[in-house]
Amino acid sequence: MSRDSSAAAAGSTETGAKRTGIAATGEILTREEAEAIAKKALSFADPNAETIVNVSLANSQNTRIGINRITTQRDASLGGVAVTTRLNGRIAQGTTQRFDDEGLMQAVKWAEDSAREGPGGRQEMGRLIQPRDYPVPPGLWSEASREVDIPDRIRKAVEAIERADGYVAAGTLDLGINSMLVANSAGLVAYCRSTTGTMELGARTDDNTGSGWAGKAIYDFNDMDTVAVAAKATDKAERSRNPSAVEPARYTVILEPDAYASMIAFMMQYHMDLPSAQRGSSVFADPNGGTKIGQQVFDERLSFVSDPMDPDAPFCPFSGTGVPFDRTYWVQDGILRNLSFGDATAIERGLEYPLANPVSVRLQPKEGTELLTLDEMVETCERGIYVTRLTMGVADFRRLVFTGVTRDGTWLVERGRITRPIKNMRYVDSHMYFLNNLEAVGEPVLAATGGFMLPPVRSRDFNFTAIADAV
Amino acid sequence: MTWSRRDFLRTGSAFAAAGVIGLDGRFLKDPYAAARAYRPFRPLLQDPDVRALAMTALQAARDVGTSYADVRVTSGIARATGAGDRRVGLRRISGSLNFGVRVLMGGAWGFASSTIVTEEEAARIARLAARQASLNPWSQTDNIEMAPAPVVADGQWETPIDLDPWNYTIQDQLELQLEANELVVKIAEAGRPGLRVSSSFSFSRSDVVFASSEGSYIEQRFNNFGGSYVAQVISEDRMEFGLASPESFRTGGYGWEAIEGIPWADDIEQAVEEAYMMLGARDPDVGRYDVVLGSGAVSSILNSTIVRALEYDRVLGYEMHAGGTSYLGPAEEALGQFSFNNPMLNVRATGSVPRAAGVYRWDAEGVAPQDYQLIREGVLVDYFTSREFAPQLDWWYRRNGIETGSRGTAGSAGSTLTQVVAPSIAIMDPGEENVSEEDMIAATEDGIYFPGGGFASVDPPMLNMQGGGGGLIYEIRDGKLGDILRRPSYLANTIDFWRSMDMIGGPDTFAYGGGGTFKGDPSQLIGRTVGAPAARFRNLNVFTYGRR
Repeated sequence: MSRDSSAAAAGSTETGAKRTGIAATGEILTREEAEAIAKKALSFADPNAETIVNVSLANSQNTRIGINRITTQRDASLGGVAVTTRLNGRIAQGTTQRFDDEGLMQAVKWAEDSAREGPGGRQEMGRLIQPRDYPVPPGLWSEASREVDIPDRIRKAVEAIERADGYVAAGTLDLGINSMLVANSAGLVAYCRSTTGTMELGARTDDNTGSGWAGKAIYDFNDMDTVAVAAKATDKAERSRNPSAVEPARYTVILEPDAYASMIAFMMQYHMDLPSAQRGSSVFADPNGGTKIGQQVFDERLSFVSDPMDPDAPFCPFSGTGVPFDRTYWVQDGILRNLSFGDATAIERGLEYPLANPVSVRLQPKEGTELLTLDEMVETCERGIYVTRLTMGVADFRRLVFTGVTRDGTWLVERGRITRPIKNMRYVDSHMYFLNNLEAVGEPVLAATGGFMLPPVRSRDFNFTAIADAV
Repeated sequence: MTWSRRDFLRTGSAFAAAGVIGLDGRFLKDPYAAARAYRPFRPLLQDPDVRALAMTALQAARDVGTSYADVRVTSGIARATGAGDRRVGLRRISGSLNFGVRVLMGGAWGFASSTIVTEEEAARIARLAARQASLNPWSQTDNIEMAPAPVVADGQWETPIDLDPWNYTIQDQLELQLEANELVVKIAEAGRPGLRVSSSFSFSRSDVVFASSEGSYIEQRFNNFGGSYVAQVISEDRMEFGLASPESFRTGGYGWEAIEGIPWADDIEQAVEEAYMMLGARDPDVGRYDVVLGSGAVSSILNSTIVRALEYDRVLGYEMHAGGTSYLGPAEEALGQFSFNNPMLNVRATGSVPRAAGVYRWDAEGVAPQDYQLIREGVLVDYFTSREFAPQLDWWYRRNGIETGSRGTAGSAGSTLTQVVAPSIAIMDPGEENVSEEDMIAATEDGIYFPGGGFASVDPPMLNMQGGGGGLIYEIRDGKLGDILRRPSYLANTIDFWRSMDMIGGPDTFAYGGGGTFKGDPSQLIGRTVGAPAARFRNLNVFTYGRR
């Protein structure tokens, strides 16, 4: 494949550029290419060591919107290789961004030099994952996304900007074309490719009293309806003009899924592992010792389930060490069922492999639960506050309590309808509370950050602590 | 010999028999020469291949008609070890090698980056960036022009360190770490059950080459020690934690001297005591208090409420969707006019703080950071800018007889991400008189003392804050420290908060704290150092999260 620099003169050969591969944006590693790199790294490895190699190449594309125009764009081709060596009861990792032999040798050497000797041996290690087949999650890869070129992204951004005319708009359009492969010295080879994207847009009214936001995650670029995102953001901004204050107190809240998605992400990332719970440093530690497995931790209508084959939110079906992500109920009907664990526990329990945590999760209402739309939640609400979005900071890690402020569309609900926009308020609360104080739940949707299928919820007694009088 | 990128990706197998591809895409004849010639990482400094790569990118950008281009190449290595008591976690050595090209074409930006570091890829990436810019419908209307900056044709700088950590092995590092952990383990075994220690050490070195189409060529080597060393205890019901770090444990621009001889050993017992004391904390009584903040607590809240708000891209609304907006605008109404109504408040930028994390000699646009005032006696007099944004303040600079230009406060979270306004060091000046924290406590009747650390949760315009503390927090009764309090927080409006500052610590209370800022899409976390004295704030609204 040749690259003729004159043909690549920027912008001059738009239609031909993609076909000829000149300045193409979406290149990743095929299975064969990734496997060749992994095999090369394995060939440099000490045969007495157990070695795991991860190879990845992601193409990360961004179109940024600020003050109603495209301010910056980015195309990043980001590769990486991680070599994990298990030797003499020690685990070490060497990583490189280089795919050439010198780079691979370096990574192998870093890992092996670190593992071969020194203090702290005797770590418990399970068997390497043996060669196996993994399912291919439907919907995780889209050719349409892979073929996206700069003009396509710009067109989508421009459509959103045009739809937001009359408002001050800022946002981001992101697309990731990703490839990754895990191979190990036991012969395992697992490859996964994915296409993910998001569009987020904030809009302010020209008098700077109203602000709205909307976002959407996609796998297939054809589903990237940026006009709808802009319409939702500007509608929220318009309806937020000239807010008035309500007294901070405990209120019933109607939460859009994106309002609390980062809380769920934080829990999945930092609180779902068994050792933390056993030690006492996770929200799922029982104050009386042990963990809360078997105890009710959320409303009985709610389950948390991770499944790479989830048709609405698929993800790669294995971990960085090749551990299969089996469909896992972390919480079933409100009861904590599982926490992730590593090799030591897997050996102790006689299991073939550990229970790995993919972080991505679906919050699924129990079958037979009446599911309400956001509108229906408003219609059946006597008095409450409708929340579009919350900023999130961790106030108490152990109890998983957060603090932050409402933003981009907060309204008072009275007698079944939205009556007026209200000034932003600070909150101190947690999904550990409001997913227990549940009044109503809706159909899960893909949150804008991607990877999380969350329903809108209505809950009692959400704790607003102060007015945060700024837009 | 040139290589197509596709071929390069295939080198894993295609060239196994023939030889090895080096960094520059040339063959190394003996495939194992590379392994024998193993170097801790690929140094970029004084490397003709790196210069050639940079020049290729700049030439490719020039060839397609860009008016400006810069390229940054990064080669880094980090060695991280973690240990809890006597248990060792994953040992990790991470290498990075990547570059990014930014161009200005038709008055619009383009940016592209890659981890495939070859001349051919450099040319492709430069053209890709140019193509983005040329396709931007706003290119001609925006017509971005950069402020002039001095050309630095041959810039070289390295974070000064005493002992090169790369002369030591990962085993040396772990041995010292376990030795340090043992000091706490021994205390635990001597009758403090439930006491644990958790430590992580990370040395990093990063070579960054900056080259611009204006003729600058700058090589910098950043050395850093990061990590933590924390004594931990847990309450009987496992709901409360006591955590404390020895006061003399230091991170930042250090080499091996950061850990050699365990410089914090003498403070460990004190840290352990503090961790236990935290378990004995009681809930504060909600109400209004005078609050004495140690340097660490001031620097945290200063970063969150003032330093970030001074970033001019936020003021303009570029960060409305990302890092947030700012109450310190618009510039026409704020510069010289906005006042915190507190003459004790003076905020400066500086480029010269030894040992500070993130310190550089030239910023991510090749501009040397200047020492200059942003808030003078409570009044806004300047912003943090970049070469893109400084010209928009030309009217103000002219009026004040200051040359219009960037003051060296552009940063990024690495060469694969584009530059944004991100100063690395900001300082709040201490008072001239030698007021100590003890003096402030003695002068306080009914208050709360936050000695250090802390966190701040602030709304997107940075106007409404909730501040809290890390570590031990004390009540103050009649000028003396009283009970230890559990998680008190203060709520305030930013402007009211700084106006309420009525005592400021002297130079002896001044210290540097770590900070950071989220900027941009995609989001970049950019570290910074914020220096501040201790200070007292009057009549703040204090509450606690309570327990449910």
